[in-house]
Parts: sequence; structure tokens; C-alpha cells
Amino acid sequence: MAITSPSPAMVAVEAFQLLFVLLFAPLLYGWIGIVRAFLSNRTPAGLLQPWRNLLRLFRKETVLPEGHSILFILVPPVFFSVIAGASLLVPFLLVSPPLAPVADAVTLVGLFSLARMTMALGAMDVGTPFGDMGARREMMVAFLTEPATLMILFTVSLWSGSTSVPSIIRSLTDGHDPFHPSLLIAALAFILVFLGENARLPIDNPATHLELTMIHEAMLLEYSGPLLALMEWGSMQKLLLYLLIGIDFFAPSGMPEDPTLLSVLAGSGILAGKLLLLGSGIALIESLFAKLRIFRVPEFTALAYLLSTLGFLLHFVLEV
Amino acid sequence: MIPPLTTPLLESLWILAAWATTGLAGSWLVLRIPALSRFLYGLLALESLFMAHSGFRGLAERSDTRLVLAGGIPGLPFHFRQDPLSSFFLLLLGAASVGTLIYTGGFMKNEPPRTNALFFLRTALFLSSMGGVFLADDAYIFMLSWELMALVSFFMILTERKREDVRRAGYLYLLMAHGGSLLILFAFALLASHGSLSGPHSLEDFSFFSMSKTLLSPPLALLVFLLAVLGFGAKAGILPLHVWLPLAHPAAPAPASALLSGIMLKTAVYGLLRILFGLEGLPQLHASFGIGLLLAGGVMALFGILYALLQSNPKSLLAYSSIENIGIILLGIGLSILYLKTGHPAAGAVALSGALYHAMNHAFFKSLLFLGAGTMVHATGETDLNRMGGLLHKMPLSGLFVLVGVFSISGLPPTNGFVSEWLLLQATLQAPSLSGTILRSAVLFGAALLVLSSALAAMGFLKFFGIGYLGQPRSEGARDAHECSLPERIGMGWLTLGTLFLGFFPAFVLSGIRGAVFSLSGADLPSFSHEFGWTWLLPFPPHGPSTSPIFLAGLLLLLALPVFWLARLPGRGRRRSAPAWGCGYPGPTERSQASAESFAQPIRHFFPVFFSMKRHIPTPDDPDPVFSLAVEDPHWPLLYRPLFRLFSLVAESAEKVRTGRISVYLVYSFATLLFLLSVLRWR
Amino acid sequence: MAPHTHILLNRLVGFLGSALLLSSFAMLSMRRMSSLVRIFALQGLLLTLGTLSVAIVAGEPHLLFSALFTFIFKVLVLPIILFRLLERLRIRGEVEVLLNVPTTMVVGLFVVVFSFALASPISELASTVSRGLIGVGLAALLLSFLMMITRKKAITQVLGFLGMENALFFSAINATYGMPMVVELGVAFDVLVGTFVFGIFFFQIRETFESFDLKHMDNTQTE
Repeated sequence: MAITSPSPAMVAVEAFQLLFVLLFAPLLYGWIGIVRAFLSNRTPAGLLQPWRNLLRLFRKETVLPEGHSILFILVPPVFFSVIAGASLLVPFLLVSPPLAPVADAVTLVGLFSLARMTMALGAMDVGTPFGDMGARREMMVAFLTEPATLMILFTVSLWSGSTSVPSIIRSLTDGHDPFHPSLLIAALAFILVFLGENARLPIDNPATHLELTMIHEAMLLEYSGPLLALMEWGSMQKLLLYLLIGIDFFAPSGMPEDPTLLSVLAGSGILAGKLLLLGSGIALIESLFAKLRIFRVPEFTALAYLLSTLGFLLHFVLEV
Repeated sequence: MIPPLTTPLLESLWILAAWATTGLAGSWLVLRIPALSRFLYGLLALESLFMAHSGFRGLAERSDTRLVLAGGIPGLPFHFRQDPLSSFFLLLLGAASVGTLIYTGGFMKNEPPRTNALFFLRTALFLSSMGGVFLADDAYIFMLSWELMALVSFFMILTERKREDVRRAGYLYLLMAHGGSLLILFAFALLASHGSLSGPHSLEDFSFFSMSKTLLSPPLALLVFLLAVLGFGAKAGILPLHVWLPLAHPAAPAPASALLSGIMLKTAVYGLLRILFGLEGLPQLHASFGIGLLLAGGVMALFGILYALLQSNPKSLLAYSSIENIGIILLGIGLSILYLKTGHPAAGAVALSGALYHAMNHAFFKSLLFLGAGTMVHATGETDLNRMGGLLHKMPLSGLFVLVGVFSISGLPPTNGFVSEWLLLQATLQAPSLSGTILRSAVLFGAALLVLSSALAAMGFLKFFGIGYLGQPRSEGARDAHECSLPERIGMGWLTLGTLFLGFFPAFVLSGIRGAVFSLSGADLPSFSHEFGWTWLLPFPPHGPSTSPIFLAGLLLLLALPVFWLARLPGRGRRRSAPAWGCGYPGPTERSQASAESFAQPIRHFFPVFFSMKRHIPTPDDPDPVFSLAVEDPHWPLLYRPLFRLFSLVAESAEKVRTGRISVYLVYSFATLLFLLSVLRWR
Repeated sequence: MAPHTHILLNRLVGFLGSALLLSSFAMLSMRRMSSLVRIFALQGLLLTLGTLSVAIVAGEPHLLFSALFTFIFKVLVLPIILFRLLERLRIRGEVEVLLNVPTTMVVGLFVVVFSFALASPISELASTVSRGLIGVGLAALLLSFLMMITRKKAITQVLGFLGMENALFFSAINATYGMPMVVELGVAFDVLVGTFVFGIFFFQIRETFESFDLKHMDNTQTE
């Protein structure tokens, strides 16, 4: 499945994908904030607040901690470009964007771990206790969510027999059969993984600087100015991409096949609707559940891993 | 007249001789003129390069040549053969050892001439004997090379023989190696005794060609399988025979570890493949053997990486990680047996190529990391990660090389570790084509263990790099660290380039592996003939999953360049330095950084069943409060120590027959003689 | 009935079975006593729906009554009793475990594989609604058993026991379209009475030992 020679329409689609993720990711963050504020009877900060934060950070000067190495400065751009690169490869505007063959689902998961590894390296570079702690905790969450993600995508790839995302989407939209037990279980596991991977509430509180509970924040403590902006922006895109992958796997209907302007516009309208709905769902979960004790986190992620394995098993028993 | 280098086999044999000769002559020279050692290692490296060339040629031409050399005992000539499988492993041997050899020239330069000369001799003989293993085509020459290899590597481990722990590690290794050889010998004997081509047994039965015609009954086939797995497993570190690995590697000098782990472990993989696929032959294997190997490999991978995570000596960490990687390779082999025996040649070929690919990758990145660990130890004079730190400031170039190795071994795209694990995962995903819950679940568990251990590997190697190279120096030694010498950097650079090449051009590598896979299993990988085929990884064409590391790398690079600009521009490049924030806690010291133990704490907490831990938490009124934590490999208290006690018990009771009088001893000999003679007569 | 609806209902039963299995797993991983009771009520609801679907597919009207009974007993009566028990006994805190949760779940996964493998030849023979479901029912049963083994408090054991009964009921419905009505009624009443008896026992146990920890009941031979 090699890349076809680039046609203007295809280039436009990829450019639009990148722009969509770059621009929409902070808005989604803002949306989640609005719903959370609404659920807890607070006045929301507005849809554009994450964008305002990012722009302010970009205007600030960079304060570099003493004793950093070159790695410290290289990490944010690399992290950002790995995530942005993934946004070219995940299908969401079209079932099969031109660059999709470059990375199947396994490679996408690999890209996310690459991003995580670079971020953790940056956190450990200065050698502050919090940076080390954040890196360690991030890996503690990841060593189970990453295999869980892979097992989930194995489960959804069983229908197509291929881990290429477009063929997964096609195999799931072609069937008329609504009840797939293994998909139910995989979707549950995916929610758990999503919360763990993106530092959302039962695992990590994205809105806190409380020293002893933080994971994601601890890794970014030493960053400032544009470097911090890149890290934050990248993380927002990561959240969006996880949702997009979730949509690809579990709710792909309405995604257009051909790159005509009309179908892409209609498709992105449907997509935006799904994203707003999912964003509200996240806000709801975050409002309902309290943060887990840090030692309970591996239990949570282990549940995701075992559930995903169970989904795989059930497919063999019930659905073949 | 035939010119001497017409076939790759002849080229390889000449290089074996050249290695041995260079070793003998060179060690004499090094003893006289120590300054020459750097060039002599360079010469060895050149010969390795030729070996790599020969292996490459063999793969490109898919040549399969045999040669019988009159030698050894009369009537017992040496058989040699270089088929694509041998070529593949010779390529691995040659290409990976080039870097290590160049490095050794710089690494050993400050050693006394005697040590240096001896190490040179051992290295050269080691290479030669490993080449002999890959080229052997009869049991004699195979065992000869195998034992020579074991012996030479034993002496390489014993380079610092004055240290007690080194001697113990070396002795344990020798014990394991010889126990393993014994089992392999049994396997050969079984194969030879059932493979008589024509009439009576002859010495020809011990040639591999004759063994490959063997017909075994199912129980015997199982026995040969078990003997081969355990025999070669003792060398490869299969559970529970792995205990020598984490002891031997910290004891040996870094280049020796690199050769041992990077290449010698692969001789065991080669031997296993040769016996299972070549001599015993696919028709005599059973699918359940594949399941056994698959699950054993998966458990081994998980166990290895869990223990690697706990180590604070960088070289023991790498040693345990070797157990993980061999586990992954065995998992791939088991998977391929399973698929091939159940009639899925395409999936079987992909699994096998994944295993071979991983063997090649491991040779490169593990050698690289061991050499990196060697420079860490050399530069700081410390052997504990907790006393390193901040080395990236002092050793930027070797640090960068090690970082590449870290990314590869963690299986992150677009590196080579990712490619081989990707292939293996794609092979496991063919599980739905199998029939039966048990088979599918076994493959599923294999996949689950594989992805879990690869995620844990990322954590382990983040610890390796983060504690060792990042942060602030944790000791005087680390503060005064210095970049390593030029040959060391060149050697590591070679391995880094090789690692990157293996990652970026998988289709090219696979086109070489294809020949080896075909000669082993009769199953073929798809070819990469279509447009830009060399950039793609597409194991199940035309509509299967695909990935392309080189495109991915290009894409990331293309994106990163404007982002670098973005990082600088908006703040108009204003930068200022300030003390690290660290939540404002005053006076952070290098001691407040995470230690190697604390980094692994969640793992200890989460997998308690795997570890036998002794933890001492002092009470409040303890006058001398010291927190201590000791984690031991459970194979020692549960298996080895009871076994040793049993042995010494048997030995003590055997003492009773030892009276000390010569005539009694003679009676023993006499009685044994009579007994044996009577057995011969009335058998 | 249209065959399409049939297939749909079959898939629905499969779906419900998986949900039942999932809820058994959830029981293994829950730490709050009240969540356990809620999951038990959820299981009852799944069973009701499952029985209803099978009743429609198989056209067996007596299963409709079974569904009704299931709903009354397992979704309403028993959970209410259990909640009141928890309240009266002032059990709030967390489930105490003998084996930590992730390990239990790994064991649980192996149990699932084992029961699937065990049930595969039976499933080949079965001609009723969903063949794979026997394995699922068996797995759910063994998982509840596992919960009884690995939890400390007496009340969790009762919940495990009730879970086993649910799984058994589900398997019976799918394998043979349910047991005869009399048997089903009998079992339902048995379980109800059993729960009452357990409730009474709990008060006795607490008065005797001032705790529900099973270890106090370990040594039965002393008297």
C-alpha cells in the first residue's frame, strides 16, 4: 500500500488535518473546562482560554534552569513534532488519508511512547526531585497503558485482520452487526487507557500544582516560556489524537471516503459534534470521580490491560 | 584452477584462519610493543569487515556450499558449510564485532601489556571459534568450536581474575557452559544414531547432512527438542539457566560483555535453529513445541526486563535485558514453529524473520550499550548508577550514541528495535487463522507478554539513561568524568550507524533475511519489488498493515525544523538562566535526585510475586538506623541453593569410599574394568 | 419472527453474556462494598434481559415468568436486603483482600481461558441460542468462586455465592432454555432464604467475634 503520487487534493487534506489538530486541540481543552465549570456551578473561563495561555507563554522569555544540558532545549520541539506528526497519520477527515500507510496503529502507539520517552528524558535532565518523580510516575502509568492500548487495537483489528487504521475503520463500518461484546470491553478499556495516558482525573489532576500528587505537571516544572508552550500544546494535541483514535475504533460512522470538499466539510462537522460530546463525557467523568491514590494507579491501569486482553479472548469465543 | 575466494565459504574460512593468526602473532607483538595494540585491533576489525562481506555475499547470492577439509583424525574430515542461515549469522558476527574491536583498541590502551596481549589473543580466538560454530557442518567441528568458544570466553570473563566475585562468576559460567554442551552432545548423539544413511553406523553419521535425514519417533523428537532448548538455553540464558549472565557481565570487561551478549548469545540462537529446523527438521517438530517455546520466551522476556529494572549496576541491568531480548527471539521462533506446523507459512515466515531481525538488532544495540556502560564505568571509576549522573555534560558524543541505543532497545519508532517487535506483533496478530482456543490463547498471551515487556523496557532504559547521563553528578568520579578516547567513539559510532541503518532500511535487511528464512522453513517472505519497495515494511501484501520508518523519520524531521524555529522566535530568543525551580524547595543537592532503586519502586510494589525481597525498616529507637533493601533472583533460594546442598550431600557421602589406600583404589579400577568387559561380552 | 431479528437477539444475548462476565471481573476489582452490591443488582438486570431475549428467540413463554422472577428477586429484593444489611451492620469501608487485586485478575484471566477451552467441545454439541456462551457462563461462575476465595469478609463471600448462582442461571438458560419452572422457583426461594439466614448469621458472628474477618472462623475444631 504505497503512497500514491501527491495530488493537490491529498496535500490539502493532510494540511487540513494538521491545521485541524493544531487549532482545535486547545479549543477542546477549553470546552472540557467549560463543561466542568458548568457541572460544578462555576463560571467558565471561556473556550479560548487555553489559546490565550499558549499565546502568552509564547511571548514570554525562556528561563533555563542551571545545570541543564542541550537535551533540555531539544525535548519540547521534538515532543511537539512527534505529536504533530501523528496528526498527519491518524485518519479522521478521510477514512484513508494519503499518509496513512506510513504508520499503522502499532506505529501510532509507538509514536506516542516516543513522545512520552522524550518528555521523561527532558524531565530528568535537570535532576530535580520533582522532575525525576514525574518521569517515574509517568512511566509507571505507561508501562501498563501502552500494552493495554496495543491489546485494544489488536482486538479491533481482528475484523479486518490488519492493523492499518483505514482497513480497521472500513471493517467496522461495513458490518451491520451492532453487538460486539469484545468491542464493548475494548471500548471500556480504552476509556481507562485514555484517562491514564492523558493525565486526566482519576489518575492525575491536570489543574493542580499540588506537589505530591502530580504526574504530568511534575515533568514540566522546569520549563517556561515558548518551551513550556510547546509541551502544553503538544499534550493538548495528544488528548485530541487519542479521542480521534477512539472515534476511529469505536464510532467511525460518518467518515467520508472520497476527498471532495463537500464530504470533507460534512465529515468534519460530524466529527466536531462527536468531539464535543466526548469532551463533555470526559468532563463528566472528571466531575464524578475523585483522584486515585498513587499506589492504586497501577491497579487501574492493570484493569485496562486485563480488560483489553479479555476482549481479545472473547472475540475468539463468541464472534468467530 | 579455481581462485581461492570464489565462494563465500572459502572467504569465511580464510578469515577464520586470519583471525587466529592475527591473534597469535598480534599478542606476541603487543607484548613487545604495547603501542601497536590499537592498530592490531584495527586489523582484526578489518578482518571482521571482510567476514561481514562474506556473510553479505552469501545472503545476496543465496549460496549454499559445502566443503570437506582433510584434517583432524584420519577418516574423520572436517565438514564445513555456508548456507544462508550461516551467512546471516556470519554477517551479524562480522558487522557487529567491527565496532567492538575498534573500541577495544582504545579501551585497553592503559592496561598492562600482559593483560592487553592476553585479551587480544582471547578476542581473536573468540571470534574465530564463533565463526567456526556458524560454519560447522558436522558435530565434531561444531562441538570443537563450541567448546573453544566457551573456554576462551571463560578466560575473557576472568580478565580481572584477582577479584573474588570475578572468579566466582567465571566458574559459574564455565559450569553452565559445560552442562549445556553435554546436553547438546546428547542431542547430536541421538540424531546421529538414528540417522544412518546406509547400513552400519559410521563416522559419517556425525555430519550434519546425514543427521538431517534422521527419522525420529515422537518421544525421541521431543527429547531432542528439549535437549537442544536446554543445552543452547544454558548459553542463551533461558530460565532458569540464566543465573550466570547477570554475574558474568559485570565481572567481564566491557568489550568482552559486548561480544558475549551481542554475538555469543546468538550462537545459541543459531544452534537452536540449526538443530530444530535443519537437523531434526520441521516435519518432526510438533506445534506444541512451538507453544512451549513461545510461552517460555514470553515469560523469560517479562522476567528479564523486570529484573533489569531493579538493577543499579548498569552492566547487570544490560545483562538482564539480554535475557529479555533472547526471550523475544525465542518467542518469535516458537511462534514460527507453531504457524509452520499448522499450515500458515506466510505468518510463520514473518515470525521467523522477526526473530532473526531481532537477533541482528540485539547484536548492534546491546553491543553499543555495553560499550557505553564500559565508558561510563571507565570515566567515573564507579560501577553503581547511583554514583553516576550528569554524564551527558561531560561525554556528549558517547552519550548521544547511548541514547540511540536506548531508543532502539525500548522499541520506539523509527528505530530498529521497533521494526523487529513490529514484525513479531504482526505475526501474533495472525492468531485468528489458527484453530482452537488453546492455540489462539497461547499466541494471545505471547503477544500480551511481548507488549508488556517492551513497555517495561522503555522504563528500564529511561532509568539507565536518566540516572546515568542526566541530572547532576552524584559523586566525585562523575564530576571528574571525561569523554572517552577516539577509537572508543569510532567503535560506538559504527554500532550506532548500524543500529540506525537497521531501523531505517528494514526492507533491505529483510531481503537478506528472506534467504535464511526460506532455507530454514521453506516458507517465503513477500518480495519488495514494487515502486519504492525498499522504504516499506509490508509483511502481508498487498493490503496488509504497513509502516515505513524512513518516511516517518523524514516526516518528523520535516516537522521538527519549523518547530525549533517556533521555540525561539516568539520570545525573540530571550533566554535567561536561573536556579532550578523544583517547587521552590531550598538547597536541592545531588542527593535529592531519584536513585536507581527509587526509580524501580513502583515495579517492586506492583510485581511482588516475582521478587524475593528482604527489606529492613529501622524502628524509631534504633541507635544506628539504616534502611536496607535486598532483592534476590528467586532462582537462587528456590532452585540453585537447594541443588548445591544436594550435591554437597552426595559428595560427602561419596567421601566414604575414599580410604586413602592405593590398593583399595586399584580394586575399584579393577572391578570397573571387569564390569565393563562383561558388559561388552554379554550385552 | 423475521430471521434478522433472531440474529440480532442472538447477538444481544452474546453481548449480555459478555457484560455478565465483565461484571464478574468488575466484582473482583471493586474495593467498595456498596459498589459490589450495585454490580450484583446490575448482574440481575443483565440476567433479566438475557432471559427475556432467550424467551423471545426460543418462543418459550415460561421463560418470561423466569425473567419476571429474576427481576423481582435479583434486581429489587436481594440488593435491597443487602443494602439494608450493610447499613444495619455499619459496614462501610473497603473490601479486604487476601490476594492483591491485579494478581487476582491475572488469575481470573487464566480462569477465563481455562473455562473457554473446557467449554469448547460442549459448545460444539449445543444446538441452542449461542454456543460460546457456555464458556462465558462457566467463566463467570469460576470468577465468582475466585472472589469467594480471595476476599476476607463474610459478606463478600455471600456476594460471591450469589454471583455464582447468577452465572449458573445464565448458563442453564442458554444451554437448555432454562430449568423446569419448579426448580427455578425453588432455587430462587432458596437463595432468598439463604440470604436471610446469612443476614441473621452476620449479626451472630459480629456479636461473637466483633468482626467479620473470616480468620476468626478458621479454627472450628477447638470445641
